[in-house]
Amino acid sequence: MFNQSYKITAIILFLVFLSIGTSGRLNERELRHKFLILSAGDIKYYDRQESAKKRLIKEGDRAVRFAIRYIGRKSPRKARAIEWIAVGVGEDAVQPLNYVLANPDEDNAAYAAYLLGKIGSKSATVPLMLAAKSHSEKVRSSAIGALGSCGDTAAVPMLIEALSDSLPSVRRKAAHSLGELEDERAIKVLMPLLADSCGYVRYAASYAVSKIGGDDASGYLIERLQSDSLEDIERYHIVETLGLLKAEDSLPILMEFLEDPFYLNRGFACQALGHFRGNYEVANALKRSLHDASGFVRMMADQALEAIRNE
Amino acid sequence: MSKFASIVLLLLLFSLVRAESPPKLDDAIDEALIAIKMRERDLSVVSLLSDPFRLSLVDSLMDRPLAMPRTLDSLAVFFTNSDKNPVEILSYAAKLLDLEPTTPVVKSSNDDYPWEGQRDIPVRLRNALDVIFAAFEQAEIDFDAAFADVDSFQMDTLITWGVNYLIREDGSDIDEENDDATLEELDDAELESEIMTERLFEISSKIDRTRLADGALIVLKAAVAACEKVEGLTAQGNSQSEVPDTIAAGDVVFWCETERGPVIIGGPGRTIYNARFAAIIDLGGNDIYTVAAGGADTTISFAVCIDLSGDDLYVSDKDFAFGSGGLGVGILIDHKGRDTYRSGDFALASGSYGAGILIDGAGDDEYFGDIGGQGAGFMGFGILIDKSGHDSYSARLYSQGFGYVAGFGMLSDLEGNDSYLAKGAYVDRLRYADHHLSLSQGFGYGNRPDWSGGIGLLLDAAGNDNYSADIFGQGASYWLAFGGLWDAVGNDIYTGYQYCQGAATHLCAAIFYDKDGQDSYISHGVSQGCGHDLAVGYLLDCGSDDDNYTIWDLSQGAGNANGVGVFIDDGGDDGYINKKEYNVQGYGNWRRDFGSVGIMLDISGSDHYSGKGRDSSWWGSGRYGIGIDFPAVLPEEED
Repeated sequence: MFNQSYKITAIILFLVFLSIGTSGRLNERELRHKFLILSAGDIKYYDRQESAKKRLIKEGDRAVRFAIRYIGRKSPRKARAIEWIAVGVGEDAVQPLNYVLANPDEDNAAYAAYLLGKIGSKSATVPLMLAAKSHSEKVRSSAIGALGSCGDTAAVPMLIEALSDSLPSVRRKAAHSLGELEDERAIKVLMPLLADSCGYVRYAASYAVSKIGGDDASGYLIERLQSDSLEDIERYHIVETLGLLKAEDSLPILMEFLEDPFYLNRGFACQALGHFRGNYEVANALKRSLHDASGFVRMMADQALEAIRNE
Repeated sequence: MSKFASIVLLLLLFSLVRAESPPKLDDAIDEALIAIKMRERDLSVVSLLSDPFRLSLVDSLMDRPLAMPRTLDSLAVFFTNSDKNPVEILSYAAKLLDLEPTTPVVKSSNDDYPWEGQRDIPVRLRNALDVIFAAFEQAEIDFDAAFADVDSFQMDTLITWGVNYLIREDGSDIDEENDDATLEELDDAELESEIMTERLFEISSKIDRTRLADGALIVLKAAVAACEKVEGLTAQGNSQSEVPDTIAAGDVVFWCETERGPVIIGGPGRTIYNARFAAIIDLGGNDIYTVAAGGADTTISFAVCIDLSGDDLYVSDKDFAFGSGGLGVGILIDHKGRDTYRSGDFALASGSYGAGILIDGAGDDEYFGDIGGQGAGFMGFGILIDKSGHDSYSARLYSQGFGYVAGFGMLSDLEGNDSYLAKGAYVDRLRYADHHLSLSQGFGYGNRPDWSGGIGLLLDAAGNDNYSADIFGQGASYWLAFGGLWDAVGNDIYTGYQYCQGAATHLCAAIFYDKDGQDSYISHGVSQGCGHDLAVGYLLDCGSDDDNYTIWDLSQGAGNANGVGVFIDDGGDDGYINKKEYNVQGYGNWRRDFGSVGIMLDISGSDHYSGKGRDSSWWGSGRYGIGIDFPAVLPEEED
């Protein structure tokens, strides 16, 4: 008798717990409603979007699997909602997105690659490396950009190869990704990109070199700075990169530039020196540059001193 | 010794003159670019996307954005040249849509028209109608060829969904009856709309748009020729009393039915036109047009109206009412008089899968419209030319120089102190509860994310003008399109709220170019030379007069989300007022792992700033934002 009532109680308790467990999950209709609130393009829903987002993220991969049905829809607000959910869910979103990455629709695949990059999971590296070989420029570009966030240096050779892609956007993303991965193998191949025909590639290369750093980086740059074949624009980027590297061995040459007859050289040297905090000689030189004849140099000196104060 | 002294004096004077002359525009831009380690080529925002409606002009300007002022100026000088024949203007517009139309030649017809035997109608009038109808025959051949690859089901889609697509594009925003719809219902409607849109544009890609242009050109040529034939004609013949009231009333010289629609000749007295006609020639009087005049739709494919004089009233709530064509060609030429135009949607120079052209000669005119008019083109041409007078233009949406997909929309006003108003139709629910979309006044618009947009131009050649828009307007664009506002002369006032005055949003190019005058600019944000999301927005104000610019934020040479914003004031003692300091006047932010470019240049004058700009100084914003208020000397000379 006692055993029987015990069993009944246990069953009831089990059912109660089960119902509590399942009542916490959103059904399809609720998932859709929350998703539509999150992606609504009407100001009257905006104050409900944060709670919808939190609830959907709590739902994990179920929400992601639901949301990716909307990939391909035209509304940018829906795309943004998918991104919020995928990034919020994180690792559990990778597998569903890998399926989309293999989608023959290049727009969808490129978007999946972008989302995987936003999540930044190592487990997405291999699918993204496959996508980076795509003939589709959109997919290739998106996958190359995403690989930097995955933290897996297995992608480095592929990214180095992409530095010579004909598309500036691919070169830019490859440089940026290499910077994110901070692998010193990339330093030498990134250097020529400081003279790239596309400004954004030059900036990305500068960022990457400064992020990777290492013992050799400033040496290479200083050596290049003394080359006769140097174009002005490459010189300015090298000077800025030396500043970003905060390499002490570049200080003499940067200080020398402050005395250069050409105002742009003086100005960009100021910019670079703004990264050397705690060096009174630098600070004093920059203060002197506040009285330079060139408005450009004065502006750069002012900004550099501001950077030193705030860094 | 005195020679030596005079040479020294001359050299000194020369150096002073040189030092005080402001830099040239191109040199100033180069200075700004090098200060952010960029070259002109680096401003390219060319897109990887492709579709059948991408225009080479849009691609070219996105690739070389600094060419925009020169490009817009050359277009505007051409389009506002009063010596240009309307046929030349339409032909050039067709070329801007990458079409290669043939030179129109109106061939005489062998058909016997009802007016042939009417000896009491002057020969010139009969000849004019002959020319118009001969052109209709040729245009019909062109249109048949244009739609040859479109089957009857697809044609049905064009008729029911195509011609008025712009008010159906997104039911949740446009149709106020949907205010109470649930999110699920809106989602379903949106999905249905996406499917229909895809079908519509796929069908549209089958249309031979060059043949559409050919058809429009031949009708326009005939209309212009007919106008020349009847010019100067006054009272001829007697009024006919047997015209049904449903057709017309008042001074009617002749009317008849034809298989292309009714034809009517109004006398020099007042005539009231109560039907849609294939051809109207009105010899004078203060007339009233209650249905359509030069309005072509699916019932009458080609329509021409010539009104020689009088203060006329054009009033109708019908689509494609006045100088407009939906799946057809409508031409309205009103020679003289203080005219009032009151219309609903797609009227007053609206072309949708066809062409609508309205040419108003002399007189102070008033234009009232709703959606898609006053120079609005979608899969075709909408061209409004007002040659003189102080005119007032009022519309609500997609108007006053509006180009949608494969469309060319232009409002060209040649003289007078004019007023332009475009707002009040639909609340911009995405952003505000109390602001309205304008998408007008030199606005190029595409269908994101699949279909590239067209060309929208608002050109005003003279006068002190007043422009008012709300969200999206005044030399602005959206999605792979080009929008331009050009004002040549006069002290003008520009008021907008957001995405205005040289603002480009999402992969496109836009320019606002005021060439002269003491101008006043007011907007809230994302305006006055602002590029958002891989788009290039440019504001250029030239002339030595003093201008004032007021904004809240993200304006005056602001690049956002990898866009490029360029703001240049080329002369005068100017004033700049802004609420926020950090994202204006040469501002470029960092998005998607790279930068946006913002450039603000004040080339000369003694200027006042409330933001981060200062007279005769340089200022920066991050790595990609630069502002320069040029002193009298260029930096090279400082060294």
